[in-house]
Amino acid sequence: MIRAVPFYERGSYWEQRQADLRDDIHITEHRLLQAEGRLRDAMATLSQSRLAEGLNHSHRTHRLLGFAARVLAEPSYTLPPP
Amino acid sequence: MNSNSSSISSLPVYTSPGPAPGLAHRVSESLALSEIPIVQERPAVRGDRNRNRRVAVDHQLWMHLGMQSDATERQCMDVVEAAIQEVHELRTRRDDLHQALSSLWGDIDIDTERSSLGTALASRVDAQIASQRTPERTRMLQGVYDKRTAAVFAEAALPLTFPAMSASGGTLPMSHGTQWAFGERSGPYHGIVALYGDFARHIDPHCPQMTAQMAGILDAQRIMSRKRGAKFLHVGHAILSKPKGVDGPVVPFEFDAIKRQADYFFSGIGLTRGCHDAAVFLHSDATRRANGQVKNEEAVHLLWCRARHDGMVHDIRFPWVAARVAQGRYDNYAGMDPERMGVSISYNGAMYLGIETLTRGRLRAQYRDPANVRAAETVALQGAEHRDRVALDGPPIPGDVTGLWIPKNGYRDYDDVVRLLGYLCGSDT
Repeated sequence: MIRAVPFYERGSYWEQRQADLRDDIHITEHRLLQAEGRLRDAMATLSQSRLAEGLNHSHRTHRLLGFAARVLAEPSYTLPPP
Repeated sequence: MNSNSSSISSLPVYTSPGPAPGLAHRVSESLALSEIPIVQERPAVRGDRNRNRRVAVDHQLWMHLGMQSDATERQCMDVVEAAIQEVHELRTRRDDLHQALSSLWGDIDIDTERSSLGTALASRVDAQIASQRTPERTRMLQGVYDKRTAAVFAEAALPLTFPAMSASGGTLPMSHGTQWAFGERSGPYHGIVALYGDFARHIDPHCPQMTAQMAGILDAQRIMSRKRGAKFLHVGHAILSKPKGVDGPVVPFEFDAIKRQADYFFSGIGLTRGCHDAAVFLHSDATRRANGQVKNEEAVHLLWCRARHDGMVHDIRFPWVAARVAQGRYDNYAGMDPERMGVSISYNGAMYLGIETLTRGRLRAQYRDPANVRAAETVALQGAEHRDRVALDGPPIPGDVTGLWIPKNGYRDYDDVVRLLGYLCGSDT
């Protein structure tokens, strides 16, 4: 049920700004968790796509898997320039 | 060949019902081997005449498998790259949000700053604070001043638009080492001057009433509800001063034009109803004296105010604003319905008190109903009688011309604004 938040419960302008930012951070971190899970799934699919056939990874796949693993392992790791 | 057969038979492409034929047969089924150019037989290999043909079949099979897995692999690589990009973007956004949160005004964590100090230094600071423990310092430690400074800075965002209005409170923070020409004052006073920047130009520091006035202005920021959690009011101030080079009387604030100018001014400096809870105009003494000997110009104008009433927010505009309405206490008026009080009108030297309701719709309805107007007039007359009695009983007040108390030096009736805001915005005065 939608309830109008009264004035005296809303807090000041700055408190509302802070609350908005904290909400955004919360949502973003949730999405980040989901994206990391998706990345793990994609990595598993990629490595199995060759290994299931008894083939080795190609060089590019090998590098990509290593890079993805590093991205997952180090949260501060940023993308290298293309 | 046998080593390859296990992995090949596991592929779904080549599974076919029926007895499992030989590898060459299956491959020729799927690959249309008739189009494969057969490598020319080399007579050097005599013992195995089909060897070249079998080599060609193996080659085609490997190419086919490689191409198929290449497509799958490329798709998977695209998915992985997209996921990496998404993770990267989300991390960047999260970092940006953290940065924005930490750079918000008023989000200064004093405990963190204190913890970065050395232990010995922190203990010395604690000893100093404990030696001079005042409410001001306690509030400073709680970060109250930071929020208040933020509110003040937000209202001084843009340059002035109306020449008759000088700067609102605090265009710039006082930098360290700036010397004020005021002489020695106490610590809290210097805090006031530093916070309210340009406000201090209008204040004579040697006048204790004015200094007390500044304290009252600061108190108005601190009005909070006692029933709910502590909420800070953001009260924007501006001083209406006399324009330079004008010798004649200035326009009274009761005129619509000047009120509209004040509204434009406030919205121009970023003082909006979303950010602030009230907008207060102060008259400088020069403005009030500019009308001549009959000083019936108000000293403080509460332009608008967002008040709480029955748990809802109401935007109140004051048609004629007398901040000194509350010269007598609100609760002194017997039979005053608090729901119907809230707008006070000073008109023709008579004091109206508690005429309108706080809601606009009900306001219009009340205006339409003559009975309500009559009741309000009665209440107002009672209030005026009460105030006159107070004025007669008390000492003679200088500058009291029309029966209203007009402060001679400084904005002493800002206390009434404080009381009014305290009533309207939720504290039980």
